[in-house]
Amino acid sequence: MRLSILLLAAWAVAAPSRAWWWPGRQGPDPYKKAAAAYEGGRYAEVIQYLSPGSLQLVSPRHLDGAYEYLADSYARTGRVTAALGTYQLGARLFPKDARLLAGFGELLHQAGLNEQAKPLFDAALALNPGNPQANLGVAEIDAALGFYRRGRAHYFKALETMNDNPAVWAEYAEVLWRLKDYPTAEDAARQSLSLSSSTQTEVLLAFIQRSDGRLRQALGTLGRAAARSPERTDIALARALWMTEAGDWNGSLSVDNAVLDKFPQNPLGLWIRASIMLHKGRRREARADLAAAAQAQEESPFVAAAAAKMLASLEAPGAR
Amino acid sequence: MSRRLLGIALGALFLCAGPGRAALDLSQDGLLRDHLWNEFLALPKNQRPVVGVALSAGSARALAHIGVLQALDDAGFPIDVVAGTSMGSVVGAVYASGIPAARAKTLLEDADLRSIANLGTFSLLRLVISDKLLSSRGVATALNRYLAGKQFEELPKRFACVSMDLDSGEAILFRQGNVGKAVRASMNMPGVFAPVEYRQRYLVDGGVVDYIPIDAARILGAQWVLASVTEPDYTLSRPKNVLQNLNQVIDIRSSLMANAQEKRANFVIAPGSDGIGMFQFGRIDEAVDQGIITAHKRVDAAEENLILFALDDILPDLPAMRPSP
Repeated sequence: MRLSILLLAAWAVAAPSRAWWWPGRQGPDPYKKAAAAYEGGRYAEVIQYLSPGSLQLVSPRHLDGAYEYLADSYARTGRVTAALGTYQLGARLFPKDARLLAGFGELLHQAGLNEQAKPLFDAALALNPGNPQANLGVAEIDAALGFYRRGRAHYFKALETMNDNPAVWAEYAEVLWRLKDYPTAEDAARQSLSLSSSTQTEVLLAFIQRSDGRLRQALGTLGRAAARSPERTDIALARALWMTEAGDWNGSLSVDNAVLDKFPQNPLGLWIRASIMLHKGRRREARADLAAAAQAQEESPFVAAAAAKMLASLEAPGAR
Repeated sequence: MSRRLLGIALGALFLCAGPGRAALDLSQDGLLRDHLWNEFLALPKNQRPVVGVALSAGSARALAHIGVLQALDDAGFPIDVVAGTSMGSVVGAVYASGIPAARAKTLLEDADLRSIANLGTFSLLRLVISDKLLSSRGVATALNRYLAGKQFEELPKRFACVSMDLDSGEAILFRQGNVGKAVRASMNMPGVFAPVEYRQRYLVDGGVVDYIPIDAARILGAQWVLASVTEPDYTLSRPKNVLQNLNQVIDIRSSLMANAQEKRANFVIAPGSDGIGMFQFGRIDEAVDQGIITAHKRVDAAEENLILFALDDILPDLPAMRPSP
């Protein structure tokens, strides 16, 4: 009697997976169709194929994968609540499925909930140390927290299977740059650019080259990024600043003036022009730009503070 | 929180937050900081302010200084002088000897601080039962082994540590002689370790009089001082025995002193103690991680502070343009 109750309970618990062999099942296993739709990026179809009723028809062999496809499809179509619920249920039913745990972790990580995501990634890595999604998740969290050395190791592992992903190569390049491993960082950035051209990665490459002491080359790279994205004021301002580092004050002034023509009150643009004027000995013009930049405490507090300090320093003779 | 509520919250987070990975800061502040920091780092050593770090006391909590130093190293902070008190002096001595912060952790982990400081369970039990203070000799022996018996003058970075004269209550600043012996005196916790006899003085832990050795860093020549402070959070603690009560009193006094002293630093980084107890040296990983996380969050602000301090040195056109006095 007790055994039959136990068996009945076990049958009830296994409810989501029983329908495929239960004599009264309603139709064919939808897993293959869902998998094909998922691989084809047709996420709405995946959700349709794996509706709560259809999920019961999936073979237990594929049920973990079905939960993964379904949850990820919900996430990709912006149905976060449904994705969360599916991942939670999937992780409870298949606590030893590294891909489900990593997917759940990724959902939380994308929402910035790194403290909640990290244990899921760690659990996935304990089950499968090579899981690329979990390695990437841990790498990104480590890098964001300042653990660059650990991050580097996880990026390296993730890239074993994600080596065709330009974004991962770019992130890896940035971590290597922060670790001052410039040659490898440059290789990684170039690898990313060979897979897909990107202004942001080109800017990163320029930063790496500059840190490696190749300012002229960095300026060339930054110039190409600026040409690709002429609307990017930040790149233009970076160019203007780096040109002053290279001693090209007139070139810097020309780039900076182009920014100020469009945005006359841009605090950094004003600051750059002030420093150029100071270099040229035109104190009065420098003062005017610094006074304007110093007003931008809310928009750019550091630029404003630096401008205010320079202004005070210009006014006060004597020691610091 | 219900699943639906959590889902809504997640949805909102998706809209306003990225995954929080490290990313190039191309904001106006970020670009200017990067430019001026680059210019600052390019200055010859004698044309920029002397940069010092002051590492507070804090027993096992103070191992977080390793993480702080690591984050500062990663950011390229040019640290010229180091001052430490108590456990801060242990970390400081290792760092000033030229061992990078990332390696200092491994070294101190392997050293088994609890054992070399004679703070094992049996030692503490003997202390309570026999009423006889413990010896801290192992600290000097171990440090002399790691630092090859170096004198202060031989260290690549200027270093000082603080102890207290048990008779006069004076703060004693060590910046000459054997490093191992001085650090032993600096971390010689009163009531646990017997005072160290040195030049007719009886010395105990400097944390009693100088929790954050900011003045020591300035005496070494530092013009800009970053204080790494591992202040105890005694508010949640409920002491149950004599030793815990004693710890609590020490923690409260340390906290009050830290609050008063940190105002004298140019910049403060204060890693949370996260409940790490005074003698929990086995939690070195957590302490170091806490140090890295806290310092990583504050390092941009620290750079900005130092840049503003050194602006006249970074921008040579500035002093030249001042009106004549």
